[in-house]
Amino acid sequence: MASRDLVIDRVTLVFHGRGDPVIALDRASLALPGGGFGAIIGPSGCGKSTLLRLVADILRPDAGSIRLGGQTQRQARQEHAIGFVFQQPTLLPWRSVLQNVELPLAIVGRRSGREGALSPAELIELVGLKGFENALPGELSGGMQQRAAIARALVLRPDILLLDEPFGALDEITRQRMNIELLRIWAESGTTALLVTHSIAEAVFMADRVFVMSPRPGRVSQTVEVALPRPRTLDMMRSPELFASANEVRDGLFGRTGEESAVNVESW
Amino acid sequence: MRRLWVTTLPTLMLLVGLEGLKRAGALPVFLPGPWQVLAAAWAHPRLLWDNLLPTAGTATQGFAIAAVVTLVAAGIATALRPVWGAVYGLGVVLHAIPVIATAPLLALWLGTGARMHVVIVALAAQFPLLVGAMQGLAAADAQQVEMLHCLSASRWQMFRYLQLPSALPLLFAGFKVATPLAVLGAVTAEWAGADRGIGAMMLNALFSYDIVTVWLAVLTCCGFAGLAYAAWSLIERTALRWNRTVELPT
Repeated sequence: MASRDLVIDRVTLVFHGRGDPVIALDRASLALPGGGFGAIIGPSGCGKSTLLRLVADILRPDAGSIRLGGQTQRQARQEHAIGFVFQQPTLLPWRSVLQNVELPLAIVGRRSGREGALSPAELIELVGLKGFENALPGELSGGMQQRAAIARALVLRPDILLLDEPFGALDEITRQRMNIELLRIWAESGTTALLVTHSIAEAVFMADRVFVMSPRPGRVSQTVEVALPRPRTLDMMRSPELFASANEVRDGLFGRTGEESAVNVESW
Repeated sequence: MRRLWVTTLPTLMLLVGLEGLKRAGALPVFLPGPWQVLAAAWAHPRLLWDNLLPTAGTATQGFAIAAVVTLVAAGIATALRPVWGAVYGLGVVLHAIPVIATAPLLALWLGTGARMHVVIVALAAQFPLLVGAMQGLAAADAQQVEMLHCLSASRWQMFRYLQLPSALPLLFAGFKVATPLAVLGAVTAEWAGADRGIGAMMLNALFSYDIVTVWLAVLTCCGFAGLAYAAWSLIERTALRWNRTVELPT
């Protein structure tokens, strides 16, 4: 079981566009234990995708540090320890499902093959795409494409899996089903996972730890621990523990204290 | 099959209409009827064949050289952003120089042999090839680039796995536009000096007021360029099965 803990320490990023510089992230910090499932939630434009891109070493922070199992994000990326699932499936349209899942193996090559990588065929079965190995991405539904993208992200057995609203484009029903599958795949792979979402229910249902972000400038304003057991089931969507955590997240998002929110809930 | 009819039927109708007009005496003397041209081709098959082969060879060689040179130039421009504008500018300038004016100069410089012909073809065909290659190599999806960056792909892997395949639709568009230009370039080059070729055949016929042969040469050019274009379309449809924008409604 390979996993790394993730520590983001007071990370700041400033975008220098045409106008005044925009502070995208202002000393954002979070910590996620190895093998844990974290969720980042916040309104649009609060920098949650930006934060994920910093962890993946797609963007460089102006200040602060990111540590993945004691390594910098660049070292982790170069060791192929990071798996990234984008909002769009981002599959290469000219490669079949199998060839897309094999792409990371082709890039890493034999010179530095990672230990214990799952075979592409096993992964395709794990994400429920058995029988579609030779299909082109354009021939699959959006949900199936995103599953192929998840298989691709897992093929090098990453120590940390970053998910940027992976099911945002899907309908509610498909999304619910994909989330359950994602949790199953995550549990089997044993990796650390960090999910960006703007759904409170999704964040609480999926994660052990929810990081609430506030905008302008983007920062992590609150961390909510979710006290639900694993494995998570759909029945838990109705449990009082989930409601309590969801309310805590909601309060964090709308900037209320516990007492105020209690009053509001009663007057509702 | 239906698509074949849709493309050939208008041409056939035009030919039949022209023939009818010619028989009715409605066409001027310098416009022969399609049947006369066909009969001339039938009467001297060697004439056509012996002249088409050198032209086709010159056009193919010049096209191939232009395709390789522009792809390499586009590759360099993509890897080295500061020279992007310079490469484009050079392509525009070369394209703006009229081949008909440079052909005699090149003939003085390189002689009237095959080398001059190939250079003229390459010059005539280079611009659409360059545009296709440069725009194509820049067409890679930004998120795909990020995806490969996450995998720590090398520059070469980025080119091989993403940029080159992404470029194919625009590369093919360039090929298709450049194909008739290459044929035209070969004919123009032959005007500047050649003993054989469609261009030479055209010029000789013009000087001897052999209007039927002039038209035969013109139509042979069109036919060859059209066939080459059709071949590209076929290759494109097979190679770019993933690219749905290529698929035409049948």
